[in-house]
Order: sequence, then C-alpha cells, then structure tokens
Amino acid sequence: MALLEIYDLTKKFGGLLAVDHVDFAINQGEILGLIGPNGAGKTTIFNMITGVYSPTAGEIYFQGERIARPPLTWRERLSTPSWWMSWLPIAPLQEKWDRVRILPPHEITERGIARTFQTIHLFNNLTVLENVMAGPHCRTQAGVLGAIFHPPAQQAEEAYIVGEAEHYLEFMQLSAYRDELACNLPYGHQRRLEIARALATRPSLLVLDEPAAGLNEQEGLELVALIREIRDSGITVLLIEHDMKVVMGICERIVVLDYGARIAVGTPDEVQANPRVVTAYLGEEEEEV
Amino acid sequence: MENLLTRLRQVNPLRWQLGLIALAVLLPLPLGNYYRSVLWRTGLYIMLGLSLNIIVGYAGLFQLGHAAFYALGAYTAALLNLYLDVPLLLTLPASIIVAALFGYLITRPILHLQGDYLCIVTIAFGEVVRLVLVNNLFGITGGANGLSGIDRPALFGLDWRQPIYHYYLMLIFLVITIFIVQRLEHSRLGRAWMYVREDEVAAEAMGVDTTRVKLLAFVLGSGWAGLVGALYAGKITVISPDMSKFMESVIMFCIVVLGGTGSIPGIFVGTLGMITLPELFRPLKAWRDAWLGFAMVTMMILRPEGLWPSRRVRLEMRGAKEVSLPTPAMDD
Ligand SMILES: Nc1ncnc2c1ncn2[C@@H]1O[C@H](COP(=O)(O)OP(=O)(O)O)[C@@H](O)[C@H]1O
Ligand SMILES: [Mg+2]
Repeated sequence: MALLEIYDLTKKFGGLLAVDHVDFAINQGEILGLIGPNGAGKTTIFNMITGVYSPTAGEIYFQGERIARPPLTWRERLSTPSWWMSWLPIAPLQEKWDRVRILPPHEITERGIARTFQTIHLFNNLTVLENVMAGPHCRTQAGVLGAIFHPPAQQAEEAYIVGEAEHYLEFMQLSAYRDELACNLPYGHQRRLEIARALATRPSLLVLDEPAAGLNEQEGLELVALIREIRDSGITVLLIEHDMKVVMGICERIVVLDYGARIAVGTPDEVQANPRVVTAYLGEEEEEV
Repeated sequence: MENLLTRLRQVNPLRWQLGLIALAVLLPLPLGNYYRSVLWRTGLYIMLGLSLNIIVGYAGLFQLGHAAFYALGAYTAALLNLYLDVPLLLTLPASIIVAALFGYLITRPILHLQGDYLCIVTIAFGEVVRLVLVNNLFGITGGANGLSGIDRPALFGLDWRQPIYHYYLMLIFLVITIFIVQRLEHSRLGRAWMYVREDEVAAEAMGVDTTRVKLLAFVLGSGWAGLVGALYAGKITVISPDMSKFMESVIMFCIVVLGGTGSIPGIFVGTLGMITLPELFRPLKAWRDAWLGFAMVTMMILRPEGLWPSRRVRLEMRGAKEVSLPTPAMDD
C-alpha cells in the first residue's frame, strides 16, 4: 500500500482552476519529485496535503486513512448523525466523526506529515534551539498543571524535547548556531533550520516546498546529500521543485504538473524524454525571455 | 537607565526576588492607612496586569475587555456571599471558575479573528457585561448602584477593616501569581504561546493546536482576573458595574503595554505609572487620562517596546537584524 494516495484532487480559487483532477501516490521510502513551471499548482497541492486548504473535489489518504476531502456543506453536516453526536465524549462516536470531518493542519502533523515553506516561516526572534523545540510539541502533552508543578513526567518531557531538538540540529549541521536567533542565520542555514524543525516532529512523510530556491550551487549539492540521508533514515520525501535539474539527481519518480493538471509521471529519464514536459518547460523559458 | 536595568538583570534572580518580597512585607509598616490602601491597589493592578499579560504579552492577542472578567469575579463573590452566605474567601474558587468559564464561552467563537477585529469584539464584550449589570440581570445584580454590604474575609479573628490585612492577603496571592506566571512562561505551553505570537502558520504546521493554545491563554487570564475581582470586593465591600468600564480595561491594557509587553517587571513599572503615581499625587489623578494619552504617544515614538521590556518583545519590536545578511532573491 502506498504511504500517501491522492485521488482526483481539484482546487478552484474563484474561477481559477489551480489544481485540476490530479492523481498520484507516494510509496513508502521513496523520494518523489513534484515539478512544474511557476503557477502550476504545486504549492496548492502541498497545502491540501498539509490541511491548510481543503480540496474543492477529491480525496487524500495517508497510511490508509482519509486526511483531506471537500468540506461538508451545512446540509450534509445536518444529515450526518456523527456530526450531531460528535461533542459527546464517546470514543466510537468520535472516531466515526473523525472519518468524516476535515483534519486541521496540526492534526495532520501529528499523524506524521511534516512540511517546510516555500517562503521561509521560521520563528525569527527565537533561538535556533527554540525553533526546533517546536517540533516535539505534538509528541508531548504537559499542560497547565505540568507547567506549574513540574512533576517528574513534565521534567522528563522537557529533557526529551531539548534532546530531540539537539539531535536534529546536529543532523542538519546547525549545532554551532544553537543559541543564535533564527533571523540572524544566513539564508542557506535558515532553509536547513526549517528542515530540522520539520524533522523534529518525527514525521513519516516529509514534504519540502522548493528547498533549493535561493541556494547557490554548493549549498544545493549539500542539500541534495542531506535529503538522501533523510530518506535513508526511513522517512519518505515529497520534493516540490521548480528547477528540473535539482530533482533529476535524487528522485526515484517524478510527477509533472502544468496548469494544474498532471501531464506526466515516471522515472527522471522517462519524464525528460516526454514531449509534453519538454513543451511545458520550453514554453516557460520563452516566457521568461 | 539602560545600564541600571541591564545590571539589575544580572543579579541572581532568587536573591532580588526574596529581597523584593521582604521589601513588600516591610513597606506598609511605617505607612498610614491611606498609603497602605494605595499599596493594596497597586498590588491588585499588578495582578490584573499579569493576568492580562498572559493574553496580550505571551499569546500576542488583543484584549480590551479584560475588566469585564474582573467585574464578573467580583459579582460572583458578592452574589454568593450576599445571597448564600458563603464566606468571602471560599467564594474565590467560584470567582475564578465563573470568570474562566465566561472567558471560554466568549472567546471560543471569536478566536479566528485577527488583531484589530478581535480587539473590537473584546471591547464590545466589556460593554455588554457592564450594561447587563446596569440593567439588573434577574433582579439580583443591583442595577447601576451595584451591590453593597459584602462581608470582608474572616480569618484568624483579625480586624479586617484594617487595610494592612488586605494588603498581606493580596501579597500572598501576588507572590503565587508571579510564581505561576513565571512557570507558565518557561513551559511547553509558554513556548506554544510564543510560537503562535511569532508565526501562527508555522506554529500550526509544527503541530501546535493554535485554537486550544489561544483559548487557554484567554481562560487562564480571565480566570485570574476573576480572582482579583473577588479580592477587590472583599476589601471595598461595595461593587458596581463601573468595574467593567471601558476605561478600566484601557488602564489594564496600558499597564501591560507601558511597562513592556510580556515582561513581569514591566507590569510593575506600568502599574506604578498608571495607578500608584496618579493615586499619590492627587492633582495628577484628575489629569490621568490626559497624562495617559501623553505617556502612550511618547512611548510609542521613543520606546515602543515599553520601559522594562522582555528580551524577546524588544527584539520583535526593534527587529533583531543588527547584522544584516544579504538575502538572495527568490525566483517567485
Ligand atoms: N490563496 C490563493 N488564492 C487565489 N489564488 C491562488 C491562491 N494560491 C494560489 N493561487 C493561484 O493558484 C495557482 C497555482 O499556484 P501555486 O500552487 O502557488 O503554484 P506553484 O507552487 O506551482 O508555483 C496560481 O495561479 C496562483 O496564483
Ligand atoms: Mg509554489
């Protein structure tokens, strides 16, 4: 069974069809590239996977469970028995509603999908360590009473959070900047910090939105090596890229989007040879000139 | 000023905290009853400031109706005391719960609102509470005159008409408040508030349940304001809907902002400026609103982060990019 399955995914912004009936699946342990010219709808698909937008049509399944679907209309909601009873603290009823309702982003993260942003979204005025400490937040539970009384469980949890954060800083080679403010890091390091923070949520699927954008050649190569290492540690990677050259080296399979529709899927070689892909990218280059 | 503050911060925190507590215990002894009452009022508003600081300072949410929860706490204590003869100190938990419950019910539907919109709704809520009290809800809130004849706390057979006992009672709660607030600030929940304040989108993507975290800030802040309301009722013994006046909320908001949003010493400084000084220099009190406006304008221009800001908020306001690094252009 595939890790993530996308069926007939569609998103309309008013009259604009940003994503047009797209299907694809991500297998456990692979690096899948999602490429396409600017405005093809890559980030929009991404935002539907992570729960930021809900699809206009179509569904997304993660580990066999539905995580995204079009929102219920009020009429549908009123005629759904599990909606009426969802406020009752009864586990089977809530599970039933869980299968119908739309998951908010934080619950999707909890289920094991972590993301980075195309435009960097760090906690700028917090330290590098504090940034990564956000990751284990969804794997821990200390609340108000824990904060006030510091019971052993809470202390162990705090130690765990710091330990995890330090581990992922080490992994992304950022330990030297532990106590710097995030906004004072060089741009390339900020990108890596975002990945470290995402990894600290312990995801099974890591979704990277144009992680190489704005990096120089050298930093790009380092990033590719890191992404491979992440995959080898057992995390499946969905890599969104605008630049075709970056993905060719590391992806096992590539999905190509153009004007919201999937125009090709296959190995890097197959995709590169596909005439439709060539036209899409050629067209773009002409536009850029 | 700057140097003094930095040097003060370097002293062992436990030492100056104990020093401050000792000072607070001894301070009222040589003073007369009037000044003791002023000190009591100062402590009360520090607590209100600290409770509002959870919402405004930590979670970065606007709340310009905080006085409503203060009033709700006072009315809960008064009603329980007057109608059911519950001793005042035993009404405190109920005051906290009622104010926290209203904090939950009111903010739950409006949490998705951002910044200024949230601000307007909270102002409206404060006014609604005041008007409901003025209109004598269920005929038990006494209308515009409010409620009177509330029992003072009865403890150790002391003469609770003396302000000094109220001062020490307040001081105990103040120390507890500071302890709790500090613990909260440096906890998983405190970090979650920071994440939400810094970047809500990223916080959500990292698995922070932003709705829950913001609600908790409102519930805790409101509940604590309710407690302060009950303490107020126990000393003054007369309460009126004016407790929920808009101006009252503005003063609380100014206490938080003037001293330095998010910072505990900042709340002390803010309360001195907004409550203690106008109280001590009576002529100033008449001019307080004018002085308030003047102080705020000057502050916003000269020192937007407040007089004694927390390190972080200072960074947020002033921008931390002291060493500016070249950011490569992105292609879209
Ligand atoms: N929130 C939005 N509202 C309206 N239009 C949007 C929104 N987000 C994206 N779009 C549009 O959807 C299309 C696809 O955008 P996007 O997914 O960001 O492309 P890509 O990431 O592939 O460059 C673009 O035409 C963009 O203008
Ligand atoms: Mg994009």
